[in-house]
Amino acid sequence: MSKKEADILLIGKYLKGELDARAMHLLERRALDDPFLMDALEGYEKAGTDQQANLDEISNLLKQRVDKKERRIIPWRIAGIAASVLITASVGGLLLFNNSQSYKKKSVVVAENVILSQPAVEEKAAAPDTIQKIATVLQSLAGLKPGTKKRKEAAIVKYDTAIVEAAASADAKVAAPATNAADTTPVNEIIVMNYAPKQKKDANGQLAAGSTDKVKRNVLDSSRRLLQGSVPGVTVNPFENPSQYSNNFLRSTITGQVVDKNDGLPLIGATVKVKGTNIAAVTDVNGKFSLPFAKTETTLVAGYIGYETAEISTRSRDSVKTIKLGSNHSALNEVVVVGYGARKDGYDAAIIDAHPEEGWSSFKKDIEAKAVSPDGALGVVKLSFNVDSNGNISEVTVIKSLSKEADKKAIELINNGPTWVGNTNGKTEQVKVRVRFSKK
Amino acid sequence: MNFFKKPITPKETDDNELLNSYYESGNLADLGKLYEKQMPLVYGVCLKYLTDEDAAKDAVMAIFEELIVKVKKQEIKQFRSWLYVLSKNYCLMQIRSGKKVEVINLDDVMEFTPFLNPEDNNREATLQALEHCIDKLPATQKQSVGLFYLKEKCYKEITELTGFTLNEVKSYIQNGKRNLKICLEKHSE
Repeated sequence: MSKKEADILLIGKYLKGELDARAMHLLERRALDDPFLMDALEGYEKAGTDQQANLDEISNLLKQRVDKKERRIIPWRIAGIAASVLITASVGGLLLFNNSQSYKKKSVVVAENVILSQPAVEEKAAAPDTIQKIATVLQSLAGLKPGTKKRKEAAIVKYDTAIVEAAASADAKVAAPATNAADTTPVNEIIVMNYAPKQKKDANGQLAAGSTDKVKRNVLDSSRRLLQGSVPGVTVNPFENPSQYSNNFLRSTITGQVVDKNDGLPLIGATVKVKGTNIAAVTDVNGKFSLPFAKTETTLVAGYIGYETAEISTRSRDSVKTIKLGSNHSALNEVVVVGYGARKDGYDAAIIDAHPEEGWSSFKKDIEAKAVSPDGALGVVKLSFNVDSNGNISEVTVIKSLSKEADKKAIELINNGPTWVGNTNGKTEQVKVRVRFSKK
Repeated sequence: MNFFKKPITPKETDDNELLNSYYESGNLADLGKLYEKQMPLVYGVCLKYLTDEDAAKDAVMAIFEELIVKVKKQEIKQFRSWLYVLSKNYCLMQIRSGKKVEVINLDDVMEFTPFLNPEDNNREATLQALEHCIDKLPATQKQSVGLFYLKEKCYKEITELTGFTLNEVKSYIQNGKRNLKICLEKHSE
């Protein structure tokens, strides 16, 4: 049996040209009768490089595999016990951990609230359904035709109650941009929509102003509570726009606009608060706000997510001042996206065999259409040829002949036929095709 | 586990002996030894069909796994040839699952059974038939077969003598053999 072991050595020598002609012949002859040897020989020939390293590797793998299987039979029971112990331990650990975690969370939230707002903050977040209610009421409000006074008032009443409800359930945390940005947006939307009916016809101007005034007051009262302490140091500028507001307002409100410092674009939904009080407002779709505050001199604090909060002092008779907020570069942590390509089989997804450039079906059609032999022979010629990495064809060989003429024609069709693309692994590949000469 | 291991005399054991001892003991080491002997050839076959070295290595190990399962199910007479068929089939399945177009495998042409063994007393007749058939072969095949079998040249020499390419020589010899076989079968009818 030592002959068998020497097989691989023989193959190696044969391929390196280290055998003499006689030895080569003998090996070739054996291979012709032994397809196993033949295939293996071809495989090594194809590979080109010395495979000794790979052979050693698989030899080791086999040893490991054989050893592993034997040992595996024993530890099932032990593994089972170990597994169950681990699972119970980890579950217990997780539960304990979770409990301690939730305590930590609460205290963190409370601490944040204390910093940003005045004490006596409720833990409850704005119930989403009250916000919904408000939104629907407002929508109905916005959709009302001017002149339907009664309905408006009814809607307003509804709106009032909705707001009050919201105020009761919401807390400052909702409005504080730093802690809970998501919750502020619904509230902001409420305020924004509020202005829509007001901006409609002036026919009902007085009435509209009156009703919106009332609405606004309520809004502002409740938003005051909502926005309590959310915006330190925002200063507000009085905003003159008599068409929108009744004269009563000018003296008792501070209005203004909040914009981005860099580009001057209005910031919608920014919070503006009168420093030292609970009076606050949120900017509308134009970035404008209005605070019901009577004193001549005061300090306003304005803030917005992604921006530095700003404080300005104001006089009620001043012209409209714009509060500019500069952006604050606190960003989210870097998010890293990791993609895992799916491997269909054990090979690299990118390896594609040599193939006709236009695809196999197009190639076949092309060849079949042209497959007419000068001697009229009908049948199949089987060819093999090599395609290198550049798609060049070489070594066209007839494996199965039909007739001399047909063979020649077939070879010519391949050589002058559709272009080929080589195997993406860069190795020259042998391709076999059949050219069928049939009746046209 | 120690009492399961049988002392095995290394390397002198025939393939069949190894196989039998595996059947008796269920000791994987026996199967491993058996496989190890043929492993270079298995790897070569995998290289041929799968081309990629890593794929071939994986295939060799996967074939071993299949081996473990199948040896238990079937009774194997000729381990080496059975292993060859198993390896080849595995590789072809791998290719088939990857490729869309069928690769025409012409190795099917190669028969495993050795050349027809003539009866002794008919030797003269068979030799004559053989001569006759060789004559019938196309020139290229006749030349290649003659040089290879009768003159016992190796491929390299034949290419030098005839000017055919290596692949052509191989092709002619293979086709020649096949044609001769067909021709002889016809004559013996």
